[in-house]
Amino acid sequence: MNKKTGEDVWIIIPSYNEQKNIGSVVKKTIQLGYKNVLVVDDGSKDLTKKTAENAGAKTIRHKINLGKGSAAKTGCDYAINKGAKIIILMDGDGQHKPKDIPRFIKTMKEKNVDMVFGYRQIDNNMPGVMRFGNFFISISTKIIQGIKIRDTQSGFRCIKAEAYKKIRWQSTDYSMESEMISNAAKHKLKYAEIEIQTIYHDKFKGTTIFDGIKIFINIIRFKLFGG
Amino acid sequence: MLAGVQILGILFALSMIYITYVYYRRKNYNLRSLALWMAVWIATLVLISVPQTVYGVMQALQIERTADFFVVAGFAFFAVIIFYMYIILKKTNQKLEDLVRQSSFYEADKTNNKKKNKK
Repeated sequence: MNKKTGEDVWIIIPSYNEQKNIGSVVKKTIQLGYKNVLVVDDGSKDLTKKTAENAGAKTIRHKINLGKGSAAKTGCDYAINKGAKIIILMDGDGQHKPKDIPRFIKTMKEKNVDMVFGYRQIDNNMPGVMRFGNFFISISTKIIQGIKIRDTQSGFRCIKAEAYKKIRWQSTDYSMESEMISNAAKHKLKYAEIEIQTIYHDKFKGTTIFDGIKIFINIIRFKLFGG
Repeated sequence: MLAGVQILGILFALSMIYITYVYYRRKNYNLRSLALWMAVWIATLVLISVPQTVYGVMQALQIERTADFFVVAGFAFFAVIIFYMYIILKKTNQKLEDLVRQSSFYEADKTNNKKKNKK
């Protein structure tokens, strides 16, 4: 990996109570050669921050839990201040494989796009409720926002620093994923998609049916009123 | 002769005047807020005690019963209050988020500088 590229690339991992998984995620990412791995501890009640630091990550800690959207914003703002040119957003629960990171960056450079979205293959490993929810939300996004994204709720994304300034979201929770897409559509940013592997540790973690309804309402809200 | 509902309304307005004054004395808000809320409760007291004061408005709005007028007016008033509180809450949330973020940047830079100095 190009040393210069590594310095410009920041991996942002918003985390809440991920003591169990964060160490492994950070170690695997650092082993790939990325030195700017930033874990944003969103007011965790366990040892997420300490575990991440011991694994070699830089850390930022919110004194209170603000939500994933806020934690991601904190990480991205910090990275931009420190000179990041490319930002990778990934989850701290071990769902995303760090070895996919180089593919994000390669796709961004080869296709010369502002953003790269990771999409999860819809197979039997994905919980049924999630499969239906993802399908419905993707169709809704295409019709309402006019942008076709296969997996609108995947948190594994790659963003150019200049593009981040345009898509910077107001949402503090999971709605950020949809708001990011809405802002990308509004600014007509160029994007690409790559398939990613996902590991589901906990079927009951993440978005529920009620979250799905909220996401659908947010798609309409972001289209009509912005963030 | 006052109707039962009028007596209830007057007791309610008097109770709110008292509570509003007590919380002012406990320094929960300033004189301006006290004046505003006292105006609201006193206006409520006057309208309930002397409903004839709103007959002109009721006629213009084609509302027949005084109780209906109070329900509609009350609903509109509280809708405005709720909207105002929504705006305040959004602003407060944003300020809180900005504050937590600034604080976390400060702590992170402090920690990183310490590590650099140790090396």
